[in-house]
Amino acid sequence: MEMSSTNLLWFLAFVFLAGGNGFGGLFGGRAPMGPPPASQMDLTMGLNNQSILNELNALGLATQNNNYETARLISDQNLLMATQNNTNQINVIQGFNQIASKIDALSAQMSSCCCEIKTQMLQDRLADKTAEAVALQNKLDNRDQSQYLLAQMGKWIANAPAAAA
Amino acid sequence: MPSILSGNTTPSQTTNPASAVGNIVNQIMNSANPKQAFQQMLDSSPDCKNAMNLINQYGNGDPKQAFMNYASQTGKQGLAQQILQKLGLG
Repeated sequence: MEMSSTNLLWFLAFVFLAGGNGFGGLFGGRAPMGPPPASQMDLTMGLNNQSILNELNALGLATQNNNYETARLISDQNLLMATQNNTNQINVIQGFNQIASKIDALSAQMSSCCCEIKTQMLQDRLADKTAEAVALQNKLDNRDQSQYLLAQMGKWIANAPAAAA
Repeated sequence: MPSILSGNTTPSQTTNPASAVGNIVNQIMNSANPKQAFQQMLDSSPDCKNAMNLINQYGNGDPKQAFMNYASQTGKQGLAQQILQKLGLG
């Protein structure tokens, strides 16, 4: 038989198949003080137990995969929540910025209104003072005119002008 | 660690068959003289020596062919299939 890994593998498989009641130097020792060799039944039981172990390993692997998937979903969810929180914070900040802008605009508008009100008040006061000045001027004119007429009447009493022909 | 070839290992129901067989193959192929190590295994194991004779008888020295022929001619196809599956040869 040619020495190769494949041939050795098939050789050992053949030993399993044709081993009969024992597997000598393969798994069990034949030394007088050593443990008894594995029987065909032992091998079959071992293979059956191995099937159970394989299923347990598959189950364990599936559980690990589920745990990994769960952790991944939680991580993704955390990322989504963090992103949403970030978006919310940006929206809040933008909202505050808009409010601040409106407050600035309102402040400017109030300042303008105040200026207009003050201007209007000054204009009103100026109009009042102007009216008072005009009334005072009229009064002075009337007095001057009265004084003139009185003075003329006095002249007429002392030296009356000749009547027109 | 007990050597498989020394014949003082004990069967374990939790041993992975494919791993155990793979270890034997590796130990033989990685030894300084693989042919000598293989002959040592044959000398130390009557079952292995008997298997070698059966391989010559059923497969003309080809272990794979002997495995197939022996399984079909002795009615051990079920066990053969199970062994192939467990050893990863299926």
